[in-house]
Amino acid sequence: MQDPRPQAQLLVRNDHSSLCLLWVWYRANGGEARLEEFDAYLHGLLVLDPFDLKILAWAMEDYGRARVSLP
Amino acid sequence: MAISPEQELLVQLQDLIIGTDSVSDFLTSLAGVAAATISRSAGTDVECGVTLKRHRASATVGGSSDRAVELDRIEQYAGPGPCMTALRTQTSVLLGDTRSDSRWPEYQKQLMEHGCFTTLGVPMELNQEASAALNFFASQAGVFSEAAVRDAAGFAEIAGHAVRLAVKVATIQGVAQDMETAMKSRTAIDLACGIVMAQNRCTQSEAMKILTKASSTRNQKLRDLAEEIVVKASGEKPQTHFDRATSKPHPAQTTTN
Repeated sequence: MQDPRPQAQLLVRNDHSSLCLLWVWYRANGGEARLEEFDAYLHGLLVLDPFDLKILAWAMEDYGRARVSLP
Repeated sequence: MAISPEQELLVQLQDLIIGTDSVSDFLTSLAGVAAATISRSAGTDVECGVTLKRHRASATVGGSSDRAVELDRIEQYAGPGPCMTALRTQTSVLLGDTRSDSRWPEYQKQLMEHGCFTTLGVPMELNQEASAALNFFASQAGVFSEAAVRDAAGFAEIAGHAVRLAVKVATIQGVAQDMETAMKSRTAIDLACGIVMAQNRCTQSEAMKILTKASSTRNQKLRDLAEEIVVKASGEKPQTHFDRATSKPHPAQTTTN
């Protein structure tokens, strides 16, 4: 599986408000890290369980799907 | 206290934001108000289309009538005309007579086929992430006088504030909806975790480890696996209960006689 963090970093850099929403989707998929930890994790400053990479990939999928349907 | 026409218009547009459920509905209502306002200035019936382009989203179009929307879309297939030019240059662009102007031949030909002989594109100032313009159409050539063009620009300046607000409200509503959906998704995982804890007489963290291991082994999303566990245990899909402001009052708040 490709590391989804570079793509997530790009997303957050272009639209800072997306960090919170991406984190909520990360939590929705079983992620346990707090928002600050999640931010640090995206930027390679914190190491989490390898399973978190999968969770982040699912979160990115859900985030992308939700964004397509803005009112 | 006397209210100026500009303040009156702003209040009217704010009411539209409150009274409509989506940006698209708001733009349709806005186009109706714009058409009525500029029809008075021009002294004849004018139709209005409005185009909103948001970053990473397709253009949203509204119109004072179905015909206005149709006329507004001509630029999408016949190439640029006054509206797109107004968006690009951020100034009002008038096409006074489609029969004698030579700037946008293909666009003008299409307009005339639709019975439209003059059009006025007026940009609205938004922000870096979005741009919008009003496109006024009339069947008679030369109806947009200098005064009417000035009125349209004045209208667009006020309308720009309302469109910005409408987009902001819609974005916040969208984020809130996403958050609610995301929070509902977590319910299945938390419930499944509780079921595993009860079955295995283990801690929450141990139960999560069991779930993540099963998810990895089966190559199945944790959320889907969790939902399966909940359905197996309870016979129904997990549900999240939100206590909304519009729901029934809390028992403690009800009064009895």
